[in-house]
Amino acid sequence: MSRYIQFAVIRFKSKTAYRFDYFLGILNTLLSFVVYYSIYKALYSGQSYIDGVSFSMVTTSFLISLGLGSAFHKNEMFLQDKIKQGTIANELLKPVNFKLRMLFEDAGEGAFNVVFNFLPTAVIAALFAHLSTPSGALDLILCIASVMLGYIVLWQISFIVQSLSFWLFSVWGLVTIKNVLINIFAGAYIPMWFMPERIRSILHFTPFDSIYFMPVQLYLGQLNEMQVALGFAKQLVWIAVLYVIGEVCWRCGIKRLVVQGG
Amino acid sequence: MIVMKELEKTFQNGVTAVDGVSLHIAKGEAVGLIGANGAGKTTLVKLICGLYRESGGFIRAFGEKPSERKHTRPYIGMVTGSQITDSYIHDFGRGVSFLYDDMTLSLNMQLIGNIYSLPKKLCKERTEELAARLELSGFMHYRVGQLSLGQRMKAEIAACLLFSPELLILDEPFIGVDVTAKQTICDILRKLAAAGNTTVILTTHDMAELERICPRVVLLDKGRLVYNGSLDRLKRSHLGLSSLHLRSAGMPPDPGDYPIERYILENHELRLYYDASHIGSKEIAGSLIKGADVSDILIEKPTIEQIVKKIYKEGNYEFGKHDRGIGAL
Repeated sequence: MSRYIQFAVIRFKSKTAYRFDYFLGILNTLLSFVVYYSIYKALYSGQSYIDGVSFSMVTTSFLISLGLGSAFHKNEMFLQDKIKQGTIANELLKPVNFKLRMLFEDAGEGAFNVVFNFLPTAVIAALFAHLSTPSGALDLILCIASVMLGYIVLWQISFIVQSLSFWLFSVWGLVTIKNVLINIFAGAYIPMWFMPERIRSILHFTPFDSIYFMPVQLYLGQLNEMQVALGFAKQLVWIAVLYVIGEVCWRCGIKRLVVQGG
Repeated sequence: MIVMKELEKTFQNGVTAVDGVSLHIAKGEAVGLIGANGAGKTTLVKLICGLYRESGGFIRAFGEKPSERKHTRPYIGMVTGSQITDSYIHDFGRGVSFLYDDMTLSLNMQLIGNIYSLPKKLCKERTEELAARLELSGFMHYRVGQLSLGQRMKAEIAACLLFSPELLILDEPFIGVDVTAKQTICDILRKLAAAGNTTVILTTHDMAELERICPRVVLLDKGRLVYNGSLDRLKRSHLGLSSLHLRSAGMPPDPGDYPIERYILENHELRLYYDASHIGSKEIAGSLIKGADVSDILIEKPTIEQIVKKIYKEGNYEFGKHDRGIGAL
């Protein structure tokens, strides 16, 4: 496993070469936050709570989803480019698990984005926006663990969509639709608190609320012990389910490539 | 090391890219794989690497079926020049071949070292050594995407050599590479093959470079193996026309009864074309010099490029029985 961690470290180091990108990344993340903050500030217009949800809870929720989104900011055409240009073959010659390597390299890039884009943004945002503090150290640790699992869920969904490149001419449209659906149903833009109860009950059976909403609830200390255990179990189950689907897509794709040519 | 017998690859669209190829490549050999476009060279290479599964016949590399790829992978290094060239034209982004465009060459080498489990110290030493040999030392902190095509190709080869593969496959490594870089790459590959630890398979249309590296060639046509033997023999069996260009002070001499294919006479210059398998250059030149006041003489033999071009054009694959088949087996 240390070999794979090394992939993440090298990827992280490689990103440090783009110094100008730090500042643009911070500016970009900060602008997203300011836009969102301004919209919700106008919606709350002096009210402390809407449907029992405070303004600081909403802004904190958005900031956490912004952090995870920034960690997941990556090139989702990577696999398609490799498959279409036939360079995926070069990867298959290397004695490492390509999928795991891809995950760790993306995680390395994500860690860079979090450290150099998200954290400075969070510090600046804390200066002018009233943010909720974590309800306790344990909740913060659980939140970080849940963010990591949420990242893996998000990554696996992306991998499944990308691996459809073995059969489709372009997955660009699917990737775009996937991102829109995730942003809506995972509550990246509109927190799940504001969704109709019926939709929320449906979303409980999807991987979406494992992505952003669970970490937010943990951070705010809104879950009891049983709910925490169930939440983590749900994240792990979705990781397993998505892993199986991803493996089936990947193996069928490779089989197609080896038998039919690419 | 690599054995194949009656190997076949037919794709689902019915195209047979490799048709009954039998071949043996021993450890440490440098073999040139040649053939016109669509001859099946890349398919054969991918079958050897296990990137394609054979439709029929038998193939083993490193003692195992390549498509099962259980133990083969750590031993194979592959440089695909056409993909790298395409990346310069179409700008695919990171990960075109062995190297990532958006990482420095130095970090890329660390990455390759990590993939092939090289100890860090050894990886560093080998990187420095390869960088010096390939004149890349000044570019180690450049992003790979910033390198010129020639530097990129040398970097790809350095990345492959870093983990000392037992089998090095070079698919068109000279596309877009300048003369100096070609010379450096050829020297390295020749030394590598001469050391006997690395088997080199080179597919190229660049015959001059092929001649420098590979004593043995395999010629494919429409998926079939049509020649498997030494380059010298190929040249002898398909010798093109040699030419003799002579300039004299007075009237050029008469070529007499020699078997000349054609000649051009212009002012004080005579240009003769003849088949060197019928008449020796020394004989004809000696005779002409005797009979005239010759001021300058130039004899040109056909290059391997011209010979192969002629073979492709005429489709004449008569090399004799011993040149086909399973080679060294």
